[in-house]
Amino acid sequence: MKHSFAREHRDLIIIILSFGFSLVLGGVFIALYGADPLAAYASMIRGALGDGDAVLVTLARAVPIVLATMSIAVAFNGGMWNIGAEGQLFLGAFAAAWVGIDLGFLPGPLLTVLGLALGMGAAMFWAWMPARLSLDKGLNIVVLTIMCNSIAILFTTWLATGPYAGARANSGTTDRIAEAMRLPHFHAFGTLNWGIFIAAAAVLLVALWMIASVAGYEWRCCRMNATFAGYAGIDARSRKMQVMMASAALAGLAGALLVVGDHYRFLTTLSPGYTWTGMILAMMTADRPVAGIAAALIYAVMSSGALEMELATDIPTELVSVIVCCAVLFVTAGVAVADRLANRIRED
Amino acid sequence: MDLLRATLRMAAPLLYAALGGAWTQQTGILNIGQEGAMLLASFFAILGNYHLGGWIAGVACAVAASLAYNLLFGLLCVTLRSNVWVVGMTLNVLADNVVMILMKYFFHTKGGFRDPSIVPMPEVSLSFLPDWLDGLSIAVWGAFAVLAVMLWIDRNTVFGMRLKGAGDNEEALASAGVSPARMRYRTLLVNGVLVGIAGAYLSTSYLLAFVSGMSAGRGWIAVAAVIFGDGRLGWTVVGVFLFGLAQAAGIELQSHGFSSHLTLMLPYLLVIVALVAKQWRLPGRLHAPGRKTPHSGESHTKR
Amino acid sequence: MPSLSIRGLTKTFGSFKAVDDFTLEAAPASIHAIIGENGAGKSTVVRCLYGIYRPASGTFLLDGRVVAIRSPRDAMRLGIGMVHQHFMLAPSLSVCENVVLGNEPRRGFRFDRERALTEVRDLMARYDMDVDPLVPVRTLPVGLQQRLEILKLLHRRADVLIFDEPTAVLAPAEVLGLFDIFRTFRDEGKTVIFIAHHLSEVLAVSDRITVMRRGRHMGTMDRPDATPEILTRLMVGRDVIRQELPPSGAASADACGRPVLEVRNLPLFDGGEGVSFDIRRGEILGIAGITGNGQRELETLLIGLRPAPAGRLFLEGEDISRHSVRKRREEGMAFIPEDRIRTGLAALASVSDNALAGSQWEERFRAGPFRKNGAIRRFTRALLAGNGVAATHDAVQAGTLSGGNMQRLVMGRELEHDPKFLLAAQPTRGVDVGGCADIHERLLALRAQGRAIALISADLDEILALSDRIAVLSKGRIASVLSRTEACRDRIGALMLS
Repeated sequence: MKHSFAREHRDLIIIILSFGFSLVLGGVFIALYGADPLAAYASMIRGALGDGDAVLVTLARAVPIVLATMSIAVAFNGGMWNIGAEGQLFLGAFAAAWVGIDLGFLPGPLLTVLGLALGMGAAMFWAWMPARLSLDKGLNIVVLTIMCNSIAILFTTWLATGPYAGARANSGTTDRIAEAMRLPHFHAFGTLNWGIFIAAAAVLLVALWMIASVAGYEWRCCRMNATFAGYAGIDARSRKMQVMMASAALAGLAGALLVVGDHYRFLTTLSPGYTWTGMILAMMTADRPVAGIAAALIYAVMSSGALEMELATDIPTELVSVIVCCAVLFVTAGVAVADRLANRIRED
Repeated sequence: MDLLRATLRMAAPLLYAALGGAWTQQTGILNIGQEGAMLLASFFAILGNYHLGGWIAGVACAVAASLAYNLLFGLLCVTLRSNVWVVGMTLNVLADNVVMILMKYFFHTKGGFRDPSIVPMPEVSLSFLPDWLDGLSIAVWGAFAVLAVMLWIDRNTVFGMRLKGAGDNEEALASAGVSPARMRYRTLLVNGVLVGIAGAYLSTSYLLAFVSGMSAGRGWIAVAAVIFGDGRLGWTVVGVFLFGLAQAAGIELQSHGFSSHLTLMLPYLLVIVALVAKQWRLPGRLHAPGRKTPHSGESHTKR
Repeated sequence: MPSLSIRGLTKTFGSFKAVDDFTLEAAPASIHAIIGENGAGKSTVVRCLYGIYRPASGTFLLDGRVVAIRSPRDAMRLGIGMVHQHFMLAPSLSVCENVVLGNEPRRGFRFDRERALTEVRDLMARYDMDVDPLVPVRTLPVGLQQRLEILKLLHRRADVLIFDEPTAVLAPAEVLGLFDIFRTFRDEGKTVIFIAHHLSEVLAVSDRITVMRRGRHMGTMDRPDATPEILTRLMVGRDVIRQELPPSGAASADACGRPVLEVRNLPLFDGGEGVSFDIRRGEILGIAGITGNGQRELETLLIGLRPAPAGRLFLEGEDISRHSVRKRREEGMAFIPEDRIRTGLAALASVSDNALAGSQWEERFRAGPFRKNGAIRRFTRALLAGNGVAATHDAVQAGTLSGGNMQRLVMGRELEHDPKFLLAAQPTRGVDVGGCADIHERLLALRAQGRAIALISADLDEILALSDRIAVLSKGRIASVLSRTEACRDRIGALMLS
């Protein structure tokens, strides 16, 4: 049984160690920059969790980050790379905003549901095309989705500064969505809103599916070895499309919630790279959704407190991403080395 | 003619990156970290240019930065055999953030930096050149020189022959005593130097400033060109010019009243069309001669 | 020309000892054969000699001098060359370029193409090989490609030439040509070491024979002293007599009714004529042939990984041509794929994940859409125990198991389904002697229960030992189907080439 603990938790141990190293490395960078690492980290924690208001802000930040991480994680789980999550997020956000602006005459609850649903739908549609091209024609999905990202972001920017521009044209914000549609904020300060429950439900549902269902097992097999999956009777193509759609739905939901719950309008600055961060966090935690959620929460805390850190010690907020990136690199390298040590495929 | 000139100016950085990328692709690595490398190089070019004076210092710093970046990539992916896709994407994000931090550290701003003391790369102005070719940056001509040299190397040197062999069957090379790891590092180094020049061109010739995010997807377009060319230099160049043309056309259309956001989409749309068209032309040949690239990041250990 | 000695060679993979204190003395100007069953460690020995593997212990001596071999480069520098089982040629480079690859004549950085051509032409003339040096390698047939591999070694002036199961991909006539080349080398004073699988080859051409079993050196003798019986006993530990197959589970012909599996006009290669055959209850149909003649394609089509472009497949009368893999499994088909590691298992997934494959939708393993982990774990443990798979825990990665264990896992898993039809492709490749006997027993037991088995194998001995009928595959079509009494090596060999 001891062996199994080490093996089953090998990946987790690597993740925790890597994270630790990266924090230390971050401290080195802080020192090189000219500040005191401990003071910097302390101000980060303070900024994120120092008082009630800060916690609310941190939680609000956590919602899109966790959704984004989960979105990429579920795609990964099936062996697909949804690098287009950022574009899907924007499309989902705009779709929800459109519902709130152009269909504002509909009753409130219907609007909310419609907005979220259309948001997810738009995102799924946007993921469908590159996924299909990749699965059926063998095109490189990473490049395709990156292109789709840029197209989606440019498109929504054009919409927000053109036909749907709000009161201040060129600022990239649309009008506010209908009153009745909005998810109420918890507090006058910050943007934490009822959307957090929807997000939590979605995340938990997807995580459960990944861990415990037969479908989740088949997804895993598709990722490990697609030929093997086919041989085991799994319809690899349909499974891979499934995870792609689930991934896009989560990204779209993230965008829609930002509009319907947080800002009540579409902004071109809606996402400060949530899905990029989600992506690297998902990469780090590969097929362990629980670890992914935990990592996302930790990242939310760090990035929420980063602003305070910058104010207090002048360390740029980007350091947080740098630390996370370093952690991912350590994990990837660590897992690769560990895999090679363990696997010996004998040829005779 | 103006369009042609604009195309050349847009294609130059793409060409450097894509040519280097084509070689690494032959050794089995699709270097998707080009975007981050280009951005990093652009920043260091400005840094070198400003602090050390002169455009050569700028280029040197840029090349040093992208070389270090590629070496890190090599260390992680070639020596430690980590997953190329994860490392590539992470390095891209890392470069993005590191540049912001360094911007703040050296220039105390996060948006952009320009300064009259930045020395631009020299332009080539010869009397016999027609108007549209006159006054182009030395880097543009350099790109073509590099292309010529690379074509010669491919055809006439031992390295070129081994590279072609690597593209075919890496085991053949390994069993002949040529280390595939060494070939990968060599091509990554060449790629690093070239991407460094591309980045330097962006910030000290094309636009005399550094703006955050200035690589603007060019690295990715270069990757697309590499895939389009499938490791063959000729087709890669075709891809580069197609995409460069799309970029130039997009900018041209802006002056005719089209919204900038829509016209900027042109190169990305064209990439998708080009990749689809390429695949359509080869029905049933999912993996044309040359290294096959994985289309989804399957996590199987690469040997 | 040096003599070669290997002393005390030991190579382990994890806890598995592939080679155990092996010794070999090869004299100059001789043809030395190493023979042994699958998994005896022959390939491992020569790979250590060539520097591909690093042994745990052992010394190599060339002409009495101790030499260090840490990589193929070292080996080549010492004049040792190896022709691998899988050719290492670059398909789009020309013949000449392939031969000189890695050892190119150069002028500075430039590739001296003229000198390369001259050198290659000279070599070809000396060894009586007639190939156009300028054509791309992919246009050459397999036999000529092997010659190219040999030319590569000669270009590097190898004195010790190692051949790893060179006859596996050759037709019987081509094998004779290869042996002529061996003799030419010997007469020139070179040392030839070749790994053989068949006694006939060994007896035909070698000067000295070394027998390996389970990684150990069992004995070495000069050719005049060797007889098939002595060699077999050393190889296997007992005399192997070709046994009569026990009566099959199928009753006599009148009770058979329709065959279990019917294949009609299934094209294996694009535009090829299709294959057709039947397999009845309680019958093993051996499908013989040189590797590369359509076996893999047949396997893929039978499993259902690729839809058949034409032709039909019937299972107990029902048309299953369009059925998915899952449906075929549900209907009672099971498959042991040729490539256990890459098709039959997911190396990075846990043993229990691998054990579940193919059964994940069964009622006993799920509650609605969710998996019943307890039931799965119990099943895995039972599977491992019942098949003698040594794994420390069911959560370890399948890739950490030894080759034999992997094979047992795959076989056990497939047989769990109690299939009506079993496809076994190269079932004993890479398995040690004990495991081979086990697998053969299990196949025969299935046959006694009345199952239909298709046995694809490149091992003629295996086919001859187990099959009721033998279909010979050549160039993507069935040359002929022979009954057990009609089948003999010569006839099958001739059919393989037709």
